[in-house]
Amino acid sequence: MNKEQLKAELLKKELVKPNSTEERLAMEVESLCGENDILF
Amino acid sequence: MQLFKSSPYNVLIPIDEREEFLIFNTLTGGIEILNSEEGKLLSELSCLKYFQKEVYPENLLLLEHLISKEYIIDSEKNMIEIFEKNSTDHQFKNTGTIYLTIGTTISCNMGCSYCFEFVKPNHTLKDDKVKKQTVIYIDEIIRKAEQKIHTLSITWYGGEPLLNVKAIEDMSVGLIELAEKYNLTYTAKIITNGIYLTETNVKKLIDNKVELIQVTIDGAREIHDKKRPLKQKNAKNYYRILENLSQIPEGINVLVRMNVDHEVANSSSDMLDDFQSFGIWPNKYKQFSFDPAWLRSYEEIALDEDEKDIRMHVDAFFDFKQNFRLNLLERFNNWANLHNTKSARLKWDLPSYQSTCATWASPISLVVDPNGFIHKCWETIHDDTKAPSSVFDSYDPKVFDKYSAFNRYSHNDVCRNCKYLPVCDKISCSFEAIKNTVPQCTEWKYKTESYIREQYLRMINKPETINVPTAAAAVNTGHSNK
Repeated sequence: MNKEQLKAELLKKELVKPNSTEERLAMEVESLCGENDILF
Repeated sequence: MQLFKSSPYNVLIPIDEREEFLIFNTLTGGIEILNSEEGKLLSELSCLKYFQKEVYPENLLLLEHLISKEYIIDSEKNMIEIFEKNSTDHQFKNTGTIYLTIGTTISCNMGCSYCFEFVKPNHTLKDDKVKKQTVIYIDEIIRKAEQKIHTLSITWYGGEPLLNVKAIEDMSVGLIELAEKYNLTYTAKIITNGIYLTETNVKKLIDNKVELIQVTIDGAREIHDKKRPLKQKNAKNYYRILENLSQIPEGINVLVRMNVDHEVANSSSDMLDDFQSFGIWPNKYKQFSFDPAWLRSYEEIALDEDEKDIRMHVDAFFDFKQNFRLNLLERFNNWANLHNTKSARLKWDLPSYQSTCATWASPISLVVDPNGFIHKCWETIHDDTKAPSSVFDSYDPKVFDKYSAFNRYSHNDVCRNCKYLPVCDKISCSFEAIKNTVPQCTEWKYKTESYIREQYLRMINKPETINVPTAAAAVNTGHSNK
């Protein structure tokens, strides 16, 4: 596989997209407090 | 050459059946799938104080990928110090939400064995001066706040708040007018035992913009009536609550809270049978939902040996939680098949990012008891001596400085160095954290690995039963066992 294909393979590894540290830090400022799916 | 280290918040989860690993980060909420070799590499790297990525040329792309997602971070980055300083500098400093909890009475018609209001003084909010002054006090907060206030969020609380519906009616008028005056979003909910959720009272709640009713039901009749006995002997309890719930019209949502021990868990299927026969759930699935919570123990309440045996270990609670969700799923889909409704799937249940309790740490959030005393925690509403101020005082945020100073990142060294601190709901309860120095640990500390593994394998092997995961919404579940 070439580098681009390897990168594409790596992207498939993500199961849940992370929030960045910056996004988490911003959450401290304000208090923190499934259209077609029915989820329990 | 830049030096890197493994994030202190990584949880590496072996999936032996598939020769894979999952890596979950409690700070970012991200999950990645790694093959066996990659997982072993991450395991090795987590033991190193720091490393250079160039030392691993065959894995360079992988490492750069994991750096971009913060599973691997700069070796100079001290995450806990960053969050500690951020919390000191910014925690609730610019919050635009006023969380106001109002105790309409301390009295209650039930005598639940696990209630944290250990002594119930006979206080009820009847004094018009307290009602009016509470609204004036909130007006003063809005005017004095340096930041723009955008939301007024009310919780009607007690005791049993519906013993004094008049206070809800009287005060809602002033509070809703206040929200209109300052163009605030207004939300309200009520915590009730459900006995007085009569048609008349529910209409009053809807008329006064209450959007959510939280009612506690601990299993089917025999168990519920034992755990949550009415003080009036031989009065109808469980079935009266279900009759009330069955008559609730659209326009208000209901969260059914369950405080789970072994007896409640064993009784939960019978309870769901009753919900169906009363036409409550799944019939009104868009309106009703369930929230099973691990029954917390309070040191002030001595438990006898029998009661200790009934309490659940964390493993048993997580087993129950997943089985209860599967029970809901099966019942819903059986019902959906008969009613031309789309079938349901499980959603992933993941640890969510936590913040400190707003009522405690936000200088503009408060609990008001029936005498107008201001508390900073629901748990002290029955104890006047714990009130730092009153609505009859002028609003001064400095009065609450010691509460605002609570910092979950520096409270104690045990929690400070715990990889589950970002998702710990127990240290979110500042009152308990301060009382115990090191609070009870979050159940996620013991169950994250096995619970995520189980859901992942279910997604692989039975994809029709579970959705693909999304990051858990960041919420404050502090005091989650109240």
